[in-house]
Order: sequence, then structure tokens, then C-alpha cells
Amino acid sequence: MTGLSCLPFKESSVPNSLFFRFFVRLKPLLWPLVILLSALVIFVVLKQTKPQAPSAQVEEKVWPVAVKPLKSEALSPSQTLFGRVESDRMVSVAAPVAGEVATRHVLAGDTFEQGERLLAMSMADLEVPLTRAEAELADVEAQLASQRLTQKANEQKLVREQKILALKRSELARNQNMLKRDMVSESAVDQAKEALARQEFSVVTAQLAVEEYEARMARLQAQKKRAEANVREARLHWERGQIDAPFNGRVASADVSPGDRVNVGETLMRFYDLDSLVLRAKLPRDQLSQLYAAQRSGQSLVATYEQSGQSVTLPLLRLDGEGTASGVDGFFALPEALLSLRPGDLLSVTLHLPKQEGVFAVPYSALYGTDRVYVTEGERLAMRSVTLLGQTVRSGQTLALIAGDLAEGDRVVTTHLPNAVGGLKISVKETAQSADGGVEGASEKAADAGSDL
Amino acid sequence: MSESRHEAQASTRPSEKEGSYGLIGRFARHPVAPNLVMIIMILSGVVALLKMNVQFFPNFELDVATVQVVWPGANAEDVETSITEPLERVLRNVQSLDEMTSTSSLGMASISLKFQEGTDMIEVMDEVNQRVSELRNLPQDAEKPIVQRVVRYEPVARMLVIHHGGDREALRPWVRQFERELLDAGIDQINFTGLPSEEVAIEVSQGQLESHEITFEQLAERINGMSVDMPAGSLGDKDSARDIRAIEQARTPKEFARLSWVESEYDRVRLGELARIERRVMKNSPQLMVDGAPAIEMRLMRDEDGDTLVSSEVMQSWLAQTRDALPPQLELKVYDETWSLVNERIMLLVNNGIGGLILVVLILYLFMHGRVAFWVAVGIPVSFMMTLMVMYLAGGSINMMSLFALIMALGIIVDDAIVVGEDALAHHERGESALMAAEGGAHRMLPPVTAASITTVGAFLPLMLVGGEVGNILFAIPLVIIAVIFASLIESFVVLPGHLRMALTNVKPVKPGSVRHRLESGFDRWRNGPFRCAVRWVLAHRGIAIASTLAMMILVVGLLVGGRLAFVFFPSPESTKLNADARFVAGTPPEVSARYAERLYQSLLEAEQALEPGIVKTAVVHYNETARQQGSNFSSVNIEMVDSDQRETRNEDLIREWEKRAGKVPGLDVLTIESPRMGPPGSDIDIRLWGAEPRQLKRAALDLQAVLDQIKGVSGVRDDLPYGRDQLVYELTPQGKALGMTYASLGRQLSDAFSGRLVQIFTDGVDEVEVRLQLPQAEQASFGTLSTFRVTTPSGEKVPLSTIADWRTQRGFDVVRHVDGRLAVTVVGEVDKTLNNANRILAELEQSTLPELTQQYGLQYSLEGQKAQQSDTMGDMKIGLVIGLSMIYIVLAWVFGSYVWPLVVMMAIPFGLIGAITGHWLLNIDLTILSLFGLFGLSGIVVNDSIILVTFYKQLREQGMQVDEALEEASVQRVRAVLLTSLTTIAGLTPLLFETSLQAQFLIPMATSIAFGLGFSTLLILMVIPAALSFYENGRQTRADRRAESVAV
Repeated sequence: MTGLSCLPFKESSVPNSLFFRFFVRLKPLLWPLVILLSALVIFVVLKQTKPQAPSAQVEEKVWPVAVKPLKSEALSPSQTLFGRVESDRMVSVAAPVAGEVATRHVLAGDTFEQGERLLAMSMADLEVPLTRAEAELADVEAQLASQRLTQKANEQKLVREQKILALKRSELARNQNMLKRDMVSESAVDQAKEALARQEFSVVTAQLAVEEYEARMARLQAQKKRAEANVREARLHWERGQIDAPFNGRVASADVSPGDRVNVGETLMRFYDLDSLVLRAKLPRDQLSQLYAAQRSGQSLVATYEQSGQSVTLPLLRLDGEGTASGVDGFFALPEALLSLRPGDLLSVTLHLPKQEGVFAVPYSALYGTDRVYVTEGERLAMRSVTLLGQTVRSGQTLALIAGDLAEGDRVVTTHLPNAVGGLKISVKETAQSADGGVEGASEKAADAGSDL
Repeated sequence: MSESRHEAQASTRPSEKEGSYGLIGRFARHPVAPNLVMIIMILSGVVALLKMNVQFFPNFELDVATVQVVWPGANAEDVETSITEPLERVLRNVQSLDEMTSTSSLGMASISLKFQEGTDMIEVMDEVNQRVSELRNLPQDAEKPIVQRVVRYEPVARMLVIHHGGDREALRPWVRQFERELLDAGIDQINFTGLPSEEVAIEVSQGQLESHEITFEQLAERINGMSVDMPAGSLGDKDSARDIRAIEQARTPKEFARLSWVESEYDRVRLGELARIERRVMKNSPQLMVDGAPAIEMRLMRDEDGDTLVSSEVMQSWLAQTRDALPPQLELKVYDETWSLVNERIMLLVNNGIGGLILVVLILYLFMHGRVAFWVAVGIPVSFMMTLMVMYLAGGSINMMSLFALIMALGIIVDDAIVVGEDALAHHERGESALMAAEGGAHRMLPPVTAASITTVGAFLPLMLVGGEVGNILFAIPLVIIAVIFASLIESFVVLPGHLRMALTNVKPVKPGSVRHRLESGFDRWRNGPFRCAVRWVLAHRGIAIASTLAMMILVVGLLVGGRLAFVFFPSPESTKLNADARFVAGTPPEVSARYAERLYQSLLEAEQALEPGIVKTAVVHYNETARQQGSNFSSVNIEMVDSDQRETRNEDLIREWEKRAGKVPGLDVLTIESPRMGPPGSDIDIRLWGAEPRQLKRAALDLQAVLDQIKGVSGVRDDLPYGRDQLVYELTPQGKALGMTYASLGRQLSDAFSGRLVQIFTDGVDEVEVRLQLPQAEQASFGTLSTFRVTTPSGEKVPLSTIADWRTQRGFDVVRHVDGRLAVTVVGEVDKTLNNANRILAELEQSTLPELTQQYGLQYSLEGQKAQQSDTMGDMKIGLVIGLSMIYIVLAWVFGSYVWPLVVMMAIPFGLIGAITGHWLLNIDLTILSLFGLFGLSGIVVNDSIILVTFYKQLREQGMQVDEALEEASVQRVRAVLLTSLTTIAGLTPLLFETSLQAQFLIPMATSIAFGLGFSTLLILMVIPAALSFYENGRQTRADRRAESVAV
């Protein structure tokens, strides 16, 4: 141990006083106690001043949404229909006589004016039956004339025969007188009797000939009528053999060509009136009640067809007379612009149901199920029951038409939240400006973004 | 140094005088053996270095198997009840199962089984397969379950292939070519993002269908009949056999358009007439944009055992070749280069290690003779090399953890050599021959050094017990330390004596006036002057000393209890990546989410401008997907920034600024911006709710998220049970039934029209292409189509859909998740460590919000994620603590031959705690799991100092010295050895302690624990242990005296 200036080991001098001894016994404990106590105090202070995290309250999640102020409108729900063009005046021309087709002036698809010659049968084939009928008529007429002449002769013959009868009768009387007077022989009387009887028969015969005239005439008259009818028919066929357009129309099909031999009744061509074109479309069953009601009230309904940016109108003419499980057919008139359509053409048109007041058009994303939308009520959602009336297309976007427990100016939530429920807390992040403008703008932007992909 | 010690030891080992011819002696005497051993050690290290993987973290993922069942068309809830639940019932008690999670989604059930570490996967897979195949009651039309073991790949880098001409389709062939080339070059796996599968869409409008009076079904039949490669057998066996076949499979839109068939006598229809045919990517498939140009991302991966650096070299050389040959419009952009990150971090640690090494060597020189110091220092690299070999054999890799452990070992590794060297030197100075001194030193020091080593091993070994991912990551630390200790034992007793023999022969006595002389005399003056006074004072006022120490303990506990020091489980280094994920409500059209992705991108640019221009290196905009999910209601922006040390802006600042600027838009469910976590998986806040109805769970989850949103520093809050899309449920009307429709036939027509009808699949190169017949996209996209759609009845009539069917809507969930067979919803969030603390938040939630939710919704909850990892790890560590302390106690009791002394010696352990925690407090850093690891290590190291002191005290007492005197003397005499071993350990860690790089920040807590703990406890050991011993020894003596008195009486 190198001697260094250092504290020596403590040489404790023990005082005598009891108190002091007690104190000395305690003294080594004093400082440690003080140190420990102060440490404990600091410990408690540290513990007390523990930084507290501000306690967070359970708060609802706020869902960001877009809304659209509602605007009450008079709108008609629309419905896309697929229909076929039909004509209710489709003419099918058949061959009147067996014969040859002489000329064909139009082909399938040609349009024609009223009175225009469309097709003709060979003249020869048409005239032969006519001539034959006329000849038959002439024959009957000739028979009639000869019958009349015969009658005249028969009548004169009867008069003559009656005169002869009277002579015969007086001759008999004379003979009898003369017999009485026996001027003559019995045989002479018998001869006179026989002559009388023969004459009486001749009179009866002549009378029959005269009386038969009526009947014979009647028969001939009938024959004449028949012959006349045959002539008329033949003439009709003759006319029909040359088909002239009864109206302005279009040829649907031309089934024969010049030179074809056709039998009676064979179809020569089909054509239809241009004004008779209608669109026949199946109307869905769920809209029938509205349609019937509209019909009863005499309201006219229209469908529209978009054609190169133009919308043309097709008025609903009538509903079909019978319905099926899948619906009832409706007939729509084709406007001028669509007259170039052919029967059988398929057309997709938009039917506009009767206009309804107080209808709101909202994007489909606002609709939950088919009967609920949510509007904002302060910072929360409120459920509104609505009826889905149909849909309408506005600048390319299909909007649902709803009516119900809504008021103009209500802000309907257009963001489709899968957990939407009345009372859900929301914050509005986007408001569509006008009834359609905003939505449109948004959808365009969306399309832009989409096209980048 | 001290004669007395030598004598004491000599007396315990009488055989030493003549030296030993044991192993130590043999090596000490052999002319070349020590060097040969050294060379072997170095060579083995070189081999290990060449063989070992270089990677960021150790492989920590647990083994995972998946079971997938496809059930086409079934909705999530049906899948849940019919497939997921039965499967879960049979799988739930598979052996070694750690966690079972399942996802039931549209048409698909997916069950993921996570196994505990160390599970024999082959055996377990057999069991899973067997159980799955035993299951009989799956739905009839469900496909066969697919059981797979997940093969894990580690990322190497991401490569963006960008087309500046805006032509997305042009990228595909290029990317496929690159893929081939890279795979050939040696990249193990390449995944793609933004390379969606394609389809040939044959779009037929309703009008066309109507006018051709054809249905999708008939059309499909015709296409299938015409577009086909048909083998038709062979013929002509007797002549020469020929195959008969048709090669008519159409592959391009043009070829499909040319398909034709005869509809009536004069009606020949070409498919092209009635359909628009297009080859395009699938609807709502993920796509990428970089700087406004379309891009495809290739993720280059390596096997878990592959070397990051090798893979990256492969990529670099490929890039160098390829870049020149690219057309001007094409750009290759590499980002998220894991290898460069790994390189940087590893170099950072290596640099710190070298700094530490220099400091250690300096300290050695300061306290020891130059030659001896040199040979002691040589032991450091030699032991390290040996350590590397042990690591390699144990399946380790070079990564941040193992490197850090090596740095930590810098100080420990020399301890043994110091003790041996110092002893030998002392003996040599006393005149022993070099050989005798060297060999004798080794022999003398073998028992205490072994004891000290065993205590250190005893402290670190229990850390290997820590399970789970965290355990896997941190396993490297105990492994390295234990390897280092064994290596240094071998080095100190096999190699060093031989070297010392050589060194000591040349050692001359210290000349007065030389630097060394001045150093030594200066130290002696300090030791015998101020230091001795201090010890004496402490022994005189031992009550005060003990009380002050206790007071410090109390204050340290006060710091913890008072919340002045927070505990963060596993702080991961700040990432250079950020992901902004936007989730919209289900059913949101892709345009909306895409628009928001653009907005996110713009707001990112603005935020960057506002904060620090130029920090964003790469920003990739993802449409229709996030990192986790795909779908039209998702979009995300992934960015990579410059390294965090090269920018001022912290991730948290950017996140806040970005989030603020991005704002909210209608329909946005959640926007989360977070950086991907490195290290153990799991979010800071991860609360699982279960035990109630899905709707209730969801509501509770929403409440919880709202609470979390209000808490400062919490971001990225979301749950994993999003509300599903509305389900339109159709019911046949009486008319529909009358027309002969069935639910199946109507459903078929609807799905044909709206989802498309899969006609055929053909392969084109590596891609499978679906041919789908469908309505035009515009018609599919509009809700209005439903009202115009016409159904074909069995009689061939076309009828409006509204006549056939009524509609109602129903709500459900798109995805139902189970955890361990229970329906569960998980709410997760990340905590900004600079603003708040996850443990504190969770404690607060458990106080107020969670019980409230439990009561309100009747649910149960559990804390998962980092918290669960934390409690698992803590549980393991508690067991480890008991084991470790017991081991230390047993070793000490053996060495001291006493039951009580070890306790006194082990008092040093809590002293270390004071230093470690105060260190954290002073440096203003949070406690972490690594701090706790540090504390464990500390307890082993600290005890070593105590052993040195107490052993020496015992020897002094045996020489008959008085208690207090012996204590004072022991302190004074051993101060050099104690200081030297402590200082080398501290010095090794010092550079790391002052490392400013953010990347090393997560290692600093451990360095702090050890450096501060060791520093403080060294002081306390020299002062307070003597005080405590004085109490104990004096007490014992008083008792002994009394007993003697009573015996005398």
C-alpha cells in the first residue's frame, strides 16, 4: 500500500451519552434513508406526471360521398324495345289464269306509283277465255231469238188448228144432221168424228207448244245470264292479267319472270303499300298497365328512334288484339324518315311512357335495390322509399326515374355505398352542379381517364 | 502486475511450475503448430465467406402451406360454409400448426397454414394432403383441392420496362424476351406486375343477336366447331402411316373474324360481320404507369438460399448488354435494388466494425505491452474467421444481424486473450522464461476464463429459445456470440500461447521515461490515488453507496413506469419505399379509382416539391390493384425515394404531406400510405375482432378505425373485411316460369351476356389466351342494359328480361376471412415512432375502447401483429431469463464453491440495467427488443468483471487480509483488468453508437444497452460490489464471532 493522502479508516470515538450513541447508531442510516426517500419521491412524481395520451372517443367513420341536388321534372320513363317492321297491306298477286307471264315491269324492292303497270300475263292467255265466254253468250242469245220465232209460229198454228177444229166440228154436225136426214152414211159420220178427234189432238199439241214457251224462255234466259257471267269473269281475268299498282308501294318479291308458265292461283308477286308500314314490338308486361291506362285516357304515346343523331318519332297506333305470357305487341307508325325500312327489319326504339309529374332523374348508382335512395340530412344519410318508374337516357347516360318521398332540392347521394344505412355519417365531397350538367362532366372525365388505360 | 494473485493461483495449481505437456503445452512448444492452426482458422473463414449468403436479414419466414379450392361462380358466403369451414375443421389440428388463416372469396377458398419453426414440412405436407383427400363432403362442382407448399423467393430488384411511345402492347414481347434472357442468365424467378392475361373478346351486340336470330350458345358452338386444332387419328398403317389432323385454331382477331358458316341457302355469315373482335387485356386487370408512360414491372427474385450479390451481378451484366441494344422508345429502369441496399448496410456495419477494431487495438496498446497487444489483437481477425466457419456450418448468412453481432463480439473476443496475455506478461516480467510464462498463463487462466465464457454463453444461449419470426431474425446474435466465444477460447489457449512465447522472448523491461513507462506509472498513480480513496470512501459509507444504487434503480424504474421511456418492439430501419393504397367501396368503376391514382400521383409530385424536390426516384402508378388486392376499386402509387441518409425529409413527413394533398373523394373507403416493413411481419397495431356476426364485426372494426384515426401518429388504418358489392338477386316471375325458363337457363344467359362466355382457351407462346363471347363493353358497363336485355325462351322467343325476372338486392361481403377457423376482422395501423408509441396506444385502447366495443357488439378481441410477436417473444425471453440466470448462478456457484457469493456477484446484473436504461434515456431512444437482447448479453459480460474481482478478493482473504482491506485491495488491483475488458467491449461498439446513418439506428439500442450498461456497471462493480460484499462478509464475521463467543461461553 503506497501511502497516499487519503481518508484513513474511520476511528470512531464513541461518546457516552445514550442519546448520542443512539444517534450515532442511526447516523449511518440517515443518509441512505434520505437518498432512498428522495428517490421514492421522484419515482412517485415521475409516475404521476406520466404523459397521458389524450383518450380517443369512439367516433363514427365518415364516408366521403358525391351528391346531386334533386330537380323535380315532368319526365316520361323510357324503355328500349326491339321490334320488327311489318306492313298491314301486303298484297300477294296470284295468276288469274293459267298461262304465260308476258311482261314484268318491276323487280323486288322497286317502288311504284299508283296505276303503274307492274306485270302482265300474255294477252293470248287472257283473251281466249274471254272469247270463249262471249261466244257462249251469243249462242244463248241466238237460241232465245229462235225460240221467240217458234212461239210466234206455234201461236198461229194453234189459231189455225182451232179454226180447223171448228170446221171439223161443224162438219160432224152437218154429217149427223145429214145422217138424221140420212143424207150421209154412218161411215161419213164416223169419218167426221175421227177427223174431229184428230183435230182436237192437233189443237192440244199446238197449245202445248205455245204453253211450253215460258219455260223454255226461262231456261234460255238463265243460260244467257251464265254466259254473261262467264264473259264478265273472263274479262276480269283479262284485266287482272295486267297488274297495275293499286297504290304507291314497293315490291316485296317478284316470284315469276316473263315467259314463266303459271297455273291458276300461283303467286306472281308481293307488294305493299308504303303508307302501311308499322313497327311491331313486344311491350314488356310490367309496363302494360301504364299503357292500357294511357290508351283508355286517349293519351298518345310515342317511341323514338335515333338515326344519325336525329331522333324520329314513332307514334303508338294500337296494341295487339291478343296478348301472350311474354307481353302484348304494340304497333307503331313509321314516320317518313323511316319509310325506307322493309318489313322484317329489326329496329330498336325507345318507348316513352306517359309523362309523369314530380319525377326525379338520378344515376343508377344512387338507387339501392329498386325502392330506396339515400338523401343527406345534415351530415347523415336518410333513407327514402321511392318507386322506380323506369329509366331515361340523357346524353348517353342512363338515369333511373324515381318518384316518392322526395322533395325538390333534396340532395341524393350518388356514390353507391355498399353499407348505406339510414343515419350513416357522411361528408359531401362533390356536388353535381345541375340536374344533368355535372353528372355529364364527371362521366366524361371518367371516360377520359379510362381511355388512358 | 500482481504477485499475490499469481501466488494464490500457483498454490491452487501445483503442477504448473514444471509446465504441462497437455494440449496447451504441446501447442505452446511446437514451432509451427500455432501458426498452422491460425492458418487453418483463417482459411476456414475464407471458405465460409465465399460460401455464405449475403442478405439483408436472416431468413426468418416460417413455412407456409396453402390449400386452395375453386368452386366456380359460388359467392363468398357459400364458399365459406361449404368449403372453407369443412376444410378448416379437418386441418385445424394438424401437428405443429402455428396459425391457420383462410379467405373465402368469389368462387375460391384459400386456406393458409403457417407452421412453427423447425417443422418437418415433408411430413406435415403429407398429413395435410391426407386430411384434405379424406374430406368427402365438398360441393359436387367444386374442383379438386390443391395443396401447395409455398416456395419463398427473396427480391433482388424490380425492373420497370417503360414504353415512352405509349404503346402498352408493344411491351409484352419485349418483356417476355427479357424474362427468358434473365432466367437463362441465372435469375431464379421473375414475377410480373402490369402484365395482365389477355383475352380475345368477341363482342356481339344484342341487336346483332336479334337480327341473326342466334344465341350466344349457338354462336359459341359454331366458333368451337370452326376454330379448332383437331387430331383425327392416323391411317395407312400398311403403306406408310399418316396422321390426320386439322389445324384451324384461330389466334388473332383477324382469323376469328374470318370464321364463317352457312346460315341458310344463300346466307353465309362471317363472324367478323356480326361481332367486333379484339384481343385485349382482361377487364379490370392491373396496369402500370411510370411518368405517364405505360410500363411493366419485372420483379427479379432469388431462392431463399441464393446470394443477393451474385444475382445482382447477373442482372447488372445483363443490363449492360441489353441497354445498348434497346430501341429508343424503350427504357429499362431498375429500382428497389435490394442488393445495393444490402451492400450499403453491410458496408456501413463493416466500416463501424473497423472503427471499433481500431479503437479496441488502441486501448490494448494503451494498457499492455506493444508486442503482447499485437498478438492479442491478431486474435481478433483469427477468431472472427473461425466464427464465420461456425456460422456457415450452422446455416447462417452474412446479414445485418450477424454483422452486428460480430461488432458486438469485437470487445468480447479479445477478453480471453487479454487475460491470458496479461497474465503471461506479468509472469514474464517476474523473470519466468517466455515459454513458461506463456504456457503457464494459459494454464492458469483456463478455469476462470472458461467460467467467464460459460457465463456469457449462459446469458446468450437462452436467446436462442426465442421463437417465431423475431426469434429467427435475432437467432444470429446468440449464434455469433457463442461461436465467437468458442473461437476465442480456442484462439486464446491453442494459438496465443505459441505466439506469446515468441513475443515474450523479445520483450524487454520497460525503460523509464518511455511512453509505455509513463503510461503505466500514470495509471498506477491514478489507481492508488483517487481510485483507492473513492473505494475507501465507499467502503466507509457503504450504506450510502448501496442506498444510492438502490435509489438509482428506483429512478430507472420510475423512468419506465413514468412513461419517459417507451418500448418499441422491433423498429425497422426507415424504408426508401412508400406505398399509397387507395381502396374504394366495392363496386366502384375502374375509371374512378384510376382518376384517384392520377390524383395521388399529382399530389405526390406537389408534396415532393413542397418538401424537398428530387427525393422521389421512382413513382409507379398501379391501376386496379394494390400491394394486397386486385380489383376495379383499388389503385395505388408505389414510390422509391433516395436513401434516407441523403434527404432531410422523413417518411412520416412525406406521408402526412402527401395524404393531406391527396384528400378524399367520394366513394373512397380508405387511403393508406405506409412504408413496407422490413423484419418480422405484422403491423404496429393489429387488432383482431371475432366472435360476433360479420356485420357487427365490421361495424366494430369501423368504430375502432375511427378511434385509431384520431390518435396522433397513427396512419394506414384499415380493416380486411370490406363491404361487398350489392348482389342483384333474380327471381323468375310467373310469366317467366310459364315461358319455360329455369333459374339455370336464365343464369346462363345472363352470365353469357354480362360476364362473357368462355368459348375456348388457346396458348400463345407462354400466355394462355381466353376466347370470350360477350356483349360489347359499353353494354356490359351500363346498368341500363338490364332493362333492354332480351332473354331467349326455350321456344326461341325473345322476351324482355323484366318480364321473366324480378330483382332484389342483397348485401354481403366479397371476401370472408377466418383465423384459426373463426370469422375475424383485423384492424391494422402503423405508428409513427416519433409521435407516438404502439404499446402505449394499445394499452390505452385496452383500457377504454376495446372493452366498450366488446360490450356493445358482444365480440372478443386479440392483439396481433407486432404486439403478438412481442408478447410471444417476451414470453420466450422470460423463460430464457430464468434459464440464463440459473446457468450463470450454477457456473458461479461452482467456481466460488458457495451458494451466497454468486448472488452477490450477480448483483452486478441489475446494475447493468441502470446503465443501459439511463443510456437510452440520455440518448433519447426507445427501448426495443434489441435493447433487451443487449441486456441479456450484458448480464453475461458484467458477471465476468465480478468474477475477476471476487475471485481476487477471495484470494486476498485466504492470505489473511481483513475484509474491508481485502475489498479495497481487490478493487484497486483488479481495476486494470476490469477496465480493460469493459473498455474493449465498449470501444468496439462506440463507432456504432455515434453512427448517424438512419439505417443503423435500429441497432443502436442494443449497442446502447451494452455500452452504457457495461460502462456503468464497471463503475458499480468496482465500487458497490465491494460495499455489498463488505456488508455480507462483515455480517458473516459478526455472526461467526458471536457463535464463537457463545461457543466460548
